[in-house]
This record gives sequence, structure tokens and C-alpha cells, in this order.
Amino acid sequence: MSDSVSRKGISFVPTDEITAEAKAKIDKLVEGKKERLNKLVEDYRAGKYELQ
Amino acid sequence: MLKYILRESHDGSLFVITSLKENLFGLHFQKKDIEVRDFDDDYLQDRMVEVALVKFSIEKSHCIKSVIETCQGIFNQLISGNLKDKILYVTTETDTARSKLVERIAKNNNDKSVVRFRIQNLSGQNFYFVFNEEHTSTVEVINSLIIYFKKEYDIDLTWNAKGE
Repeated sequence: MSDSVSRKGISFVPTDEITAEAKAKIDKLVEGKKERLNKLVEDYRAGKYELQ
Repeated sequence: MLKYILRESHDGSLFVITSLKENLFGLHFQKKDIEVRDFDDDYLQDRMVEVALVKFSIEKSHCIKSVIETCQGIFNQLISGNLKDKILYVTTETDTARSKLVERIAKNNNDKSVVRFRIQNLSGQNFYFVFNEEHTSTVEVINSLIIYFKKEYDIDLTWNAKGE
């Protein structure tokens, strides 16, 4: 890969509409990520990451 | 660059980015079991580190450029150091303030060895993969991602002719 491509990066897209099954699996994956983000915020609000 | 506090835990590393007055954002590098759930593929499982960006401040940020520079600095430090053989991956919803922030953090990188892949708009999500090509094969990452998304989601991926 050339330097210019490396710096620019590469984008991929699906060739077709994704199926309902794939959408459901991705949505489930995203839900897990949201829960982990919420946990970070909850920990923050509980004072776990207060400035010292 | 802004200051940050590093908090290590059994789940991963959390960089708390701060201003003089308050905590602004958290940049979390998850290293426990995430790859097993998200990427059922031997090559990817060994390398994936999930990155999460969360806003802690409730105020509208007035130093977003500095936040981005700080996050980029942390990314560069890790991808050249402790995580040089890993693939940092982030997902965001498309066309949100957070996605634009992640896009800017992942995109602007002066290090020639850092490569970024983006898979666009899968069920309203963008997937970003950032890695150091001096330690991780670009070809293997491409092949693994294409094979994985086909196997797991029956999605055929192709290059986006419009690029970045």
C-alpha cells in the first residue's frame, strides 16, 4: 500500500442492502456497546473518575 | 493538548481528558473479552481493541479542537507503543456529533504507518479500524474483515469509489 493511500485511509461499503437478519445482529452488537458506554458514564457520575 | 488522567482497570485503559475545571471526555480502550463477542475470527480476535469515546462534561465544549488533538495524541502514542500490534476499532452512529468527532480523531493522523479503514453505514453504524502497518499486515486486515463480515452478516464489502 502506498503512503498516500495509508494516510488517506480506505472506505468500504456493502454491495447490496443488508438483510434483516444482519441488521438485527448489528443492532444487538451496538446495544452491547451502548451498555458499556452507559457504564462508563455511570462510573463517572458515581465519582470514580473525579479530578485528583 | 489538554491534560489527561490514565485509569487502568481489569477491563482496560481509560484516559480521562480534562480541562482546568472539569473532566471533558473519556477515551476507553477495552481489552477484556470484547473481541470474542464482536469478532468471531482468530486473526481479528487476537488483535482487536475496542475504543469508546464518551462525553463526561455536561457543558457545551468550547475546546473541542483541543479534545481532538489530545485524542489523536493518545491514539498515536498507543498505536506506536503498547498497542502497536493491535487494531483499534470504534463504532458510531452515522451523522451524529459523536460520529463527526470520532471521524476527525481517526482521520487526521500524520504518522505514515497508521492506516484507517472505515466501513460505512451498516444499519446506521460506521465501523472504524485503525492500525500500524509496520506491525499489522494491511492485506491480512482487509482479507479478514471482508471474510468476517461475509461469514457473520452475509455482507459483501467493496471499496468505496468515492473514498474519504
